[in-house]
Amino acid sequence: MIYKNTRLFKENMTMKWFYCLMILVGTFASNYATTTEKKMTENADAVYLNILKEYRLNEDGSWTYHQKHQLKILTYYAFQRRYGETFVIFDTLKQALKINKNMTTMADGKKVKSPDNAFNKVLPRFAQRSPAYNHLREMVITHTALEQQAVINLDYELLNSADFLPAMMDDIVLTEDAPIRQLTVRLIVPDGHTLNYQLLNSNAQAKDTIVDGNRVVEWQLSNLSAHHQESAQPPAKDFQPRMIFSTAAHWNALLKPFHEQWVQAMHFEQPPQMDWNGSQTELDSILAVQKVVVQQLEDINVPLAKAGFSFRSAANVWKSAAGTPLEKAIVMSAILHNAGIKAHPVLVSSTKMLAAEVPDLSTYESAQVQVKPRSHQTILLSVNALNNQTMAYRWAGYPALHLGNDQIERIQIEANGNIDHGSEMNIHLMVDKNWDITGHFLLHLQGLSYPYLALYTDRISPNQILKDFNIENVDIDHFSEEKMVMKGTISGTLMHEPMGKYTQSFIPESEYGLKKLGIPTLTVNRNNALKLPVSNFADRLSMKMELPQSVKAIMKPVHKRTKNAVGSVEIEIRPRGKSLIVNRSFSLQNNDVSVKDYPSLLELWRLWHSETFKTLLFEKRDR
Amino acid sequence: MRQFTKFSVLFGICLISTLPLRIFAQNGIWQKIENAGDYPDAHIVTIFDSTNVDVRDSGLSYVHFHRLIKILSEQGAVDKRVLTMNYDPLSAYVEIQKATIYRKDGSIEEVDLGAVRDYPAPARAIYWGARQKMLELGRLQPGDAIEVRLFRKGFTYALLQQQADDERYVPPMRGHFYDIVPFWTDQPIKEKVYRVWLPEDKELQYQFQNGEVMSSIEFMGDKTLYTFTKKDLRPFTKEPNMVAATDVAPELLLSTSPDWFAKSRWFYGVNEDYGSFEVTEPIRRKVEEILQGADSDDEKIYRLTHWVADEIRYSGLSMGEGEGYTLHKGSMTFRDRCGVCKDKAGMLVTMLRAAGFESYAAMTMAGSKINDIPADQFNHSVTVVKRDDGTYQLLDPTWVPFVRELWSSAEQQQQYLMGLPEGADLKTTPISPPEKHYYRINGTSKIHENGTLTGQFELEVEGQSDARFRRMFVRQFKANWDAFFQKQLLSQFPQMQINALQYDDPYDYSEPLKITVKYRIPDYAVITDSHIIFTPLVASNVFYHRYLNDHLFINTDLKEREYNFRTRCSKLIELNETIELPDYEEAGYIPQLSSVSGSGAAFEGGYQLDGQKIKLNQRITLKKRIYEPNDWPSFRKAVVSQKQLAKEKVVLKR
Repeated sequence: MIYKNTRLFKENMTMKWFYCLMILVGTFASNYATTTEKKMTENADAVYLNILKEYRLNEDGSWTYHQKHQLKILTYYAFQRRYGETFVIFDTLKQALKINKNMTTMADGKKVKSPDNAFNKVLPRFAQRSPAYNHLREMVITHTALEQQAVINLDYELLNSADFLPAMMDDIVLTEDAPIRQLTVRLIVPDGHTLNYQLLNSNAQAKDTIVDGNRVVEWQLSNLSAHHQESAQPPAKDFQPRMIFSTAAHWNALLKPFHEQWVQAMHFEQPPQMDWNGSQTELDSILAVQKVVVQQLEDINVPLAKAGFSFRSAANVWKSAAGTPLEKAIVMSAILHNAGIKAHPVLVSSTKMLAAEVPDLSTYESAQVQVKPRSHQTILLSVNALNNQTMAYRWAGYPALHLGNDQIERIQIEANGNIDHGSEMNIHLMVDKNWDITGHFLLHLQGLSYPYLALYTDRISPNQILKDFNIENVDIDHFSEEKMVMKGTISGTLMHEPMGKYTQSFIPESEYGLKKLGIPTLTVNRNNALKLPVSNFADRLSMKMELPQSVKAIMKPVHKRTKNAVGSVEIEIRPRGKSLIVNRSFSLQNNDVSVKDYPSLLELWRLWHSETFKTLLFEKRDR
Repeated sequence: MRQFTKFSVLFGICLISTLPLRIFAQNGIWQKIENAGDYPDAHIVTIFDSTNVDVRDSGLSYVHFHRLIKILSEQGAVDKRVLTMNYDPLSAYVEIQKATIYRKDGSIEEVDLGAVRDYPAPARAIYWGARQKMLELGRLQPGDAIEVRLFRKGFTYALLQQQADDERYVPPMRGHFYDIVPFWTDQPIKEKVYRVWLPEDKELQYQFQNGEVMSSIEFMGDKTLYTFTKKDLRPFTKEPNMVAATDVAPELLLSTSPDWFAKSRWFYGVNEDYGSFEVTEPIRRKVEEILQGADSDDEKIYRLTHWVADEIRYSGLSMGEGEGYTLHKGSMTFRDRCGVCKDKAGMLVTMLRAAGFESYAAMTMAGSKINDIPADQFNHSVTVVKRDDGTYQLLDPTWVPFVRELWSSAEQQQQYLMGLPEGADLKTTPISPPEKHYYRINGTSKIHENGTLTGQFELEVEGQSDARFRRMFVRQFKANWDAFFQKQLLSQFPQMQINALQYDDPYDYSEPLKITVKYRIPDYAVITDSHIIFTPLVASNVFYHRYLNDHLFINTDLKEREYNFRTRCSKLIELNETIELPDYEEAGYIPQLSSVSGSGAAFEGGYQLDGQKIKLNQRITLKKRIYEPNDWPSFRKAVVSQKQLAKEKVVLKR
């Protein structure tokens, strides 16, 4: 009995401890959930309570995209400017939109169904001025009765005919610009049908089941933070949770019909007559054709996926004088082919992160032309703007689809060799007693920042490379596709900003050095990595300024040197006899700057841009 | 006989509308194209632009356009590769009737009109069912010419019920006709002709402003024909920051409306008849809720205006029949919680009436001036409320979300017309004193021996200056707020270490916005054995941003101006800083500027060296929103003075 009682006592105690533990766990879990929720929404303007993204392939090859979500509005910005409408673009010939529900639950719980006039079909702006894409529509779903704490309830389905895309496929970033409490992604295919997929940048596990003769693969993702775009960041596809999937059995199943379409499109019954006068080299001809395509064919910026990965023939595009980037690339390639020059459109992916085993065309977004002139290396050209330099430097290492004569190949864009990029300038100046300047300079430009094609076609003159002074007697010592060496004489004045007997003058800077790298104004903190166009970049200036007796530099001699994980900056300003010596250099090793390394870039950027070290100060003395 | 006369007039219109082609056919259209002339900077030249308008008794107009355009450049060829016409199907009908391409090689192509597309126009914010018709002409080349014939019947706005035949195209002021015809261009036009046939009993007021035109009047049976012709129109040269080109460029205005009073009464009536301001029970309850505890008329008007401004978002859904000048019913706007300017104005009228005020809607023209001829020169709608002293107070719920004003001073010097039962004349809003829109920075700082600057400053802004800063918050994600202001500071002072960046809740506009920054900037001043050289931080254009300080981005290179110019609002800028200095002997160079005082702006202030401190005090007064050319010298000098203090350095000798 005692035993029994003791046991009972122990059991009671155990149960009490168990309950206490459960309460503690419950409290902790509740606090944790509250804290997570609070952290997730403290800086948010709205929060998705739930989102469903469901793709269902039907037996006949048609498929449905079904989206359902509840979005809670937290701020005025959210309902006045950001989430008042949902825009769904579709192809009226091959897709049908069905809106199941558009309702707002107001803050007091009142449910308001959107009126009939809240659904308006308009032409997507990117399809303007193009009868060929006039069948595209954008459904503007207006959410009415919005206020703070209201919840938008939207449910719609987009029905795709079997021939809209070559397979059910997509490549989507799963985060939004508002946090998501619960996200369900579901792929449904008839049991036995091929389904390739990959969830990137997330640890969520797929649940793979058979339901009613269909294979259902589902992911549940919770508490996803909002993703806000920052300047010069890598594409969100590189680091945000992302789903790629395809029902195509293999790449060839996608590429073969795409190739057949492309071969048809390239056929130009009556190719345009080009005026080759003035074209002495193949490069002249290539750039002349690029100019025609850029300037005489209007840009119709319909994304390839919205066009169902279809395009018109070169002849039709030429006749209409307008085309999508791929269509313009086809016209350019076709004209060059007819002139006997090897040229091919390439579709370049904006991300290097691919799921190679998932055959999906959606990843390849921008169309360019790859061309190999005799006596030059392969160059990559835009169809929307005249290039200063081959785009291969910018896109080196990125995956692309190469639309070749025999097949479409998956390739990587290659740049010419492993060269450094940047500008190096040596300047020697002499200042006279009237503050006037004469002197000479030597400038090296190389790689991405070197405007080879612009100089080649005389679109810019060497004078535009150095704007701070008058440049004359320009002589080009070396001029190749990778680098240039230029020299010339300089004249000007030190009196940029006269202040009594003092004056200030800015240290000259190459227009094609760091200025062209596109580093934005940096903020103190950053949430996303920063991506620059190239690695191995340097901007260097070495200047000697000889001063007369009557002019004295009054800066404090400085020698600042910073080297860190990202690169280095060195700034030296010092007198040497009657001369002033200025050395400034900025170099970057890598174009990918992680969040961890960002403070290092900021350190370099701050020092480089400090006005104190960009300004020269002088005093005129009575002698 | 009357029938015959009508037929004659119609025939006359058709004859005249085809006249240029016939003449050209006789004389050789190719010759006209070849002799179009040289215009080295132009992309196209319009050889003729002919518009013929037949106005019916109801005010309905049938408009025939006939143009011959020569392509001069590749850009011109691309621009003209499609022909588009915009229209609102509820109030207008348009047709592309003919398109002919005269190729440079001598061939002629008639473009197949079966290829015309008719589709909903691209839209954002306003979804009233606007449509476009488009015909692709395709590839053109310099030297080609296109001849087009277009037709439109109807009106710009939809107000009437959809009915059979042409009834739906009759203009809102039934029986009246108006038009505004630009006689200015950005590409050359060799000849522009505008003809209008009016029923003889309609009296037309017309005005040709900012230029000269050849005009004639002919009496043709029961119609009167007015003809306006101008030759050799050259591209209008704009000045930076000038007022809207329509304010100063040649333009023809026509109206049969007798005066503004008639227009005012019509606008009052059309909304009252529709019941735009009917107060429903849910609206009455909401008004009671909003006004709980409000003990003065000012407080009630303030609360209701801001409720509509903040809670009714700008988004236009179509009411179908009546869309245009008719304000949506308050019940619709209240249910949808959205509308465009006229619907927000109507919502406020409804709520003010529910609160016992006498209130009406008004029309105005944001962005350009209304000429004194009672044509429909309006693009914006607002609210007026009658105060106890009998005056009307203007309220603009569209322009004041999160703005500490009830009427946006960005609309000062702007014409408006109230829709009153007794009618009203056109009025102009007064200049808003710059002091109501102050932009004030007060700072204290210290320059250390190693050149580091430490300190803090506080920005305080009011009125429209407040609104500009506050919009930087309320028009972007909360998550981006700090980053935005960091960028403003670091773009000017890359070395700045921001120790504190503080601001109040920008959604709470009960007080002027304040932003406080505490900072440290290494190597800010150049300090040598012999000199201390620096520019005080507050003088250095701290927020150098086109939206926040638009006056700093006005091109001051122009010595004089031909046209009126504008800023966003009158503004008072006060910049004050006290800087503690390291030891020095004497002043080497202290920037000094003369005071400026003129009709446009004023500038005063500079530096005062006071022992171990130097004080900056600057006061720039920008006196209005719309300026005349003779305001430019003082405006320019004041702005240049501010910019000069921003770039010049203080030099102290040690």
